[in-house]
Amino acid sequence: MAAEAQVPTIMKQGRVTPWLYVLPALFVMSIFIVYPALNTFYLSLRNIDNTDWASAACVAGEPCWGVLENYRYALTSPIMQTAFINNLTWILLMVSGTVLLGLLVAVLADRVRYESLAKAIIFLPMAISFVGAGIIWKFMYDYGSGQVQIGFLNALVKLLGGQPVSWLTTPQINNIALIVVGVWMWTGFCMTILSASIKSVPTEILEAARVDGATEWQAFQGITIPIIWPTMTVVITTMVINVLKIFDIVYVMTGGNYGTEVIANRMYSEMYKSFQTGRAAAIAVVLILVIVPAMFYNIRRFREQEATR
Amino acid sequence: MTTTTATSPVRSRNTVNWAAKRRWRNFTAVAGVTLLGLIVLLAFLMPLGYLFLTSVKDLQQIQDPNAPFLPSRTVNYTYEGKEYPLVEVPVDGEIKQWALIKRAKVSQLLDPQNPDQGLIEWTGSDPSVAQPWRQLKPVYRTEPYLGNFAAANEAINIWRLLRNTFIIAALGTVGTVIASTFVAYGFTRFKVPGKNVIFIILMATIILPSQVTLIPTYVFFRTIGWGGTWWPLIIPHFFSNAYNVFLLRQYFMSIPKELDEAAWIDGASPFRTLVSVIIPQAWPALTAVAMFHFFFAWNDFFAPLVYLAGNEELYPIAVGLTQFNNAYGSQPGQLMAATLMAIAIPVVIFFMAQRQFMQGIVVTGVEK
Repeated sequence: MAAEAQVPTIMKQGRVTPWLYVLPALFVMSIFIVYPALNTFYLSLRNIDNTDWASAACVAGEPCWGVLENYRYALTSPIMQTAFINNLTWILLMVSGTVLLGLLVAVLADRVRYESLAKAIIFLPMAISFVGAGIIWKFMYDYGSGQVQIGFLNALVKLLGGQPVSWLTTPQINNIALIVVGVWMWTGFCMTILSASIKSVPTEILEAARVDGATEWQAFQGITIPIIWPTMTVVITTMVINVLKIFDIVYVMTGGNYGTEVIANRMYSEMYKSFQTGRAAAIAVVLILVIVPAMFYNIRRFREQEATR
Repeated sequence: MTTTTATSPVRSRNTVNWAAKRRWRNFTAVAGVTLLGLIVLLAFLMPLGYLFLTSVKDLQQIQDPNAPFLPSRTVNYTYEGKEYPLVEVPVDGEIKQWALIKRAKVSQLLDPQNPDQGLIEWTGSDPSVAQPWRQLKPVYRTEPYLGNFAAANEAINIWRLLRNTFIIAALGTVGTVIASTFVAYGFTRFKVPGKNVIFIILMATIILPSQVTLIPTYVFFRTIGWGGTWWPLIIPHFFSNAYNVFLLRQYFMSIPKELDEAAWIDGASPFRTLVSVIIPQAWPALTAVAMFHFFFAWNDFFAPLVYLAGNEELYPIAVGLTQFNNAYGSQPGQLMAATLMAIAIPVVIFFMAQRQFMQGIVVTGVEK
């Protein structure tokens, strides 16, 4: 008790000491976040090699957005439109796929004896790099031109008497094929978080419902779902952010060709393949703007939680 | 805490009349759940199983359209100094494994069990077929081929790639654990003006796509002469990382402040308190941070690709593997062997420390 009276804050601290501890974070923030973010915005208004404003690239008689010319490309060019539509497809299918499958596994695993093994298997793909996963799945989807089908999926199709499919070059099918890889990799993440949340549902309430004659399904949707709902919304927003940033799978497996372009991959191509710094920066800014609402939601929720702590 | 309804005492007392019906329903439910679970697990394991199986097959085994699932090769029989394939021949409703000596309208076969019997003539059951011997399926014997690993190592020097990756990952891990501990301690135990704003910005960096900040960061590192070296992959981690700071902060906040106060009364400085009070209690969180970073660095592809461009000697495994993928598409066995070697270490570490790993995901995921 005496200690509390003597120490108004948790610990007697000098003026400088606290800053010493937080300094690395400030350093990293300014060098790697604040400066790059501002610089990216500046570059997005500049021309191809940062020698003039973007408006210099305008040609008389053609549509031009002046200094925002790079944004005209980022928002209206056909390839970017494809990327937007694909990103939307990714969000719809991958977020629902990972969350629903993760929930299913979490619920099932909760009831079996080999729970930790089952969860480890589902989680395992997360421990594998995108590169490794990309190579494995490229081989799974392999399409041989002749009789020989060494890809797993086409071997299976042939076994069932069907015609082999070129999974990665057929438009629409290839997007689904890539999303399947995404679901394979990220379901473990959703499962882990949802599983922890399901375990926090008080058993007494579930027992009481069962005693009253509720079926497992009724108990699940009437009790479990409402209790884990806040966690589910966080998982969903986090996954939306992750999917908006999706890059590696597309880069490794199709390089964005055959109609599989996504925003982040387009940005990379503009930067390192076409050396269009201005356009790449404009796409980056667009990507940030798309992510901000989800980010805002997550941070607000985090602050609410901090307040109740 | 798994609660199966059948064993719950409360349950059985209240629902005696329903016992039989419930038991049946429970059985079908359990069977259905088990089946569903097994299907999902198999679907998730399949790509890895296929990776493993392909890595122990040679090119011929991979491309043989009739070969069974497991790595197998055809069996030969030596007859008068020459090799002939063994085939499965249906004789009187029985399958015999005989050597196919002469392929013709009337083929000649030999029973290896009974070679003295001499050549057996065989025409198949349908005389209208031109080449009846084509109906005979070759005999396969399961035989894994281990040469892919050595061949892959020969092609891309996997040991060098693994060594490079290990050095980058290990140094970065040491850096980020130390730095993140300090920063997290600063955020939980001190009153820093504007602390919340700083913290929120730090959190935003988790969410910001790395591609966004990559361009200027790349230019920055090239300007200070670090292009083509490991430094951009290691040094930034010595200045902490938002994700790890967040994880440690959540953990430090759960350590009672009374312990700090006791240490302070005993005359300990803040640094001493961190080392002797906080760190000894935070091992699970520190382990999780170390593992997360190690995994991140091991699997990171984008940053090394950009920063090490052209300097092949320094490539980590992710970049080396991609190169191999682009160059050796026609050698799937070797490619899969290389991939297997690349993912082996993270997978082993994951299985050893599964609990800390998942705990870390929950802390950063749920409470974010």
